[in-house]
Amino acid sequence: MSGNGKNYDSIMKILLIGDSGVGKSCLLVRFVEDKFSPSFITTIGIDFKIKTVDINGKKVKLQLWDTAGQERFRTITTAYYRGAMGIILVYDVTDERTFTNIKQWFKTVNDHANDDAQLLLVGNKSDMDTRLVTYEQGEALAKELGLPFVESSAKDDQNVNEIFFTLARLIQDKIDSNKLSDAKNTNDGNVNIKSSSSSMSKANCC
Amino acid sequence: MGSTSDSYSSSQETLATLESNTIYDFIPSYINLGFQKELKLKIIRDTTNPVVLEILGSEKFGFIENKVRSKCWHCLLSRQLRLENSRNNDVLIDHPDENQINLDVKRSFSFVENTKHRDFLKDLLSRIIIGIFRKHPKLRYYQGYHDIVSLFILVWHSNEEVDLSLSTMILSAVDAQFDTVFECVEIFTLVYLRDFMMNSLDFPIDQLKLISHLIKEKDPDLYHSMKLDKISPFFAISSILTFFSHDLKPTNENSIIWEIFDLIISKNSSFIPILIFTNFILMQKQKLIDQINLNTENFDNETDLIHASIQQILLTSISNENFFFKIMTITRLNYNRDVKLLSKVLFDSRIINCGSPLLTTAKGNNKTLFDTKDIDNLIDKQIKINGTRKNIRQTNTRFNIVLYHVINNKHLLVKLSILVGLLAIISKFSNRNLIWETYHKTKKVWLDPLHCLLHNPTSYLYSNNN
Repeated sequence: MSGNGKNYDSIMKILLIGDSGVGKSCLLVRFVEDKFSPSFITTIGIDFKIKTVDINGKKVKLQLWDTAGQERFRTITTAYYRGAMGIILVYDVTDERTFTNIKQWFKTVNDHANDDAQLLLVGNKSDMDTRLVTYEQGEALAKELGLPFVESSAKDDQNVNEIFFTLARLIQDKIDSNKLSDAKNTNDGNVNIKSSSSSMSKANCC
Repeated sequence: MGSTSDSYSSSQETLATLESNTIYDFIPSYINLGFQKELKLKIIRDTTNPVVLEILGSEKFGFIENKVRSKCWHCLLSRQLRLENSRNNDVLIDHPDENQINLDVKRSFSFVENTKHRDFLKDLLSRIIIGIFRKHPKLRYYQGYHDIVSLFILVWHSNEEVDLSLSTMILSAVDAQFDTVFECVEIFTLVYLRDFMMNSLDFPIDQLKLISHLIKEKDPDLYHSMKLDKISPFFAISSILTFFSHDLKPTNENSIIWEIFDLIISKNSSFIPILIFTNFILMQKQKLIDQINLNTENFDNETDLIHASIQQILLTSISNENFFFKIMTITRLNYNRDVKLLSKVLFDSRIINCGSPLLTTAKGNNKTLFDTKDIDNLIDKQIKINGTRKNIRQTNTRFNIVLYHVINNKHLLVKLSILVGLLAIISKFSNRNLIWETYHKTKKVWLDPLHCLLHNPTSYLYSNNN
């Protein structure tokens, strides 16, 4: 397959999770197709999209997996956590319940995702006047869970690209530093037990 | 390939002669589609016999237009379940899923351009879904149910001019029509959708496995290329849960989705969505294999690879409605044979719960007319089975999570290995002590006469002499 000339340097699997109606699909459609519709359709199960972006001068193919928010779909959606290099946890700043449920989502991630997956917390719908969760609350939760944090609006196209680019850069940095430590350890003649998952090493070789 | 795929290709050959097998075979094939439809419509309008309606609805074009379809669906559905009392949603208490229902209603009918009409339809959708769940509080709402109900609403309300004038008319006229739509949705829900309305997705996931089983029977090569022995066919979940109404939108009267529902209702068969999905895969075999080969290097695991490949093919197929018309033709043509095959799979695999619509529908001429009590008993039985299943699954999941973390955490794995090693050594020592102790405590002569003799020769001889 290597002979057919790839048009990218690496691949990253990214997952969007969070309660129903927080705007996961809207963020994704805004990012991939630059569109927005207030009555965007519900995701049932799992949807898949691709977008190639430029990160640190490298062409990175983002595999974006959108998930259904309703609790019963978790049996299915968690099957797709495996190998995810980035996971975006989304809540709605106008709905407190979606914010409190982030801790539950965080636990689900810890239970099912690779340990080295890079997470990112997103408070969506920041354009709305009916906000109930402040920026500071979001920031505090992100600090508590040890995650980077962004507020966004898919409707006004605020910070949407930043979400995906920030995440992709963080992942790329991780890959680069792992590569570096791998190389160092190989020179030392040691085996690096902490080296990344299969997905990471796969991305390295692409 | 084998004989199964031969029979499959032979079915494609028979496609051309399909029309000759239908009830309106007197219509010469050179007559254009529009005129064929017109003739069929006349026959449907003149038909009073529900059995004839069932045959007409199962065939090419289905019931053709919504004005006729609404009457046919009402007629056929009321022969499948006799409801005791009609709508009584005004006095009942809130259902726990109403918040989720509202979220999904808000996002419905996005393809309807006229905002006033869209709001009218959304209002109707909300009233019907909430009414159904308040009347049947044991059932749980799932995302995707709203797509099915939206489709029913459009059968009665696809004409925006009529609807907008209707909304300002006398309420009793609006109410009469509301009751009919409600009744049809209620029957359809109770007869066909019970598996999906438990408090987990275990039963629909079981249904998905039938797709894998069918592909294995019909095309073992494809079954292996799609790694269906290793992965769950989650890629089909939205098509199965919504009977394709999520993917194939009813944008106009000629949309293929109407024919799919015409076929389900006319055949009284929950097998149809599974058969359509399987036929879609079989008919796109080569494209799918090419796509999988193209994608192989790009995905982390097989679940991702197969899901992404199928979704890419499905998306291009959706835009080509002619392709879906072909799938429908194959599905109709092979229906009896496939149902036999599926029934055998159901019997052999025993993966379907005993109250499933897959077992209570698709009886051909031996169809039963259920009443509310029968359905209630079935639902209770299903809830019980689902509860047990859910508990087992949750225990398994917890175990799998621990296992997953142990395998993925190399530090923990090393520590655990050392611990297991230590335990083995300790147990070896403790066992040795135990044996030693037992050996010393039970100084039975018959165990080791020599030992006894060496340690205490006199007593040994003495005891032997006695």
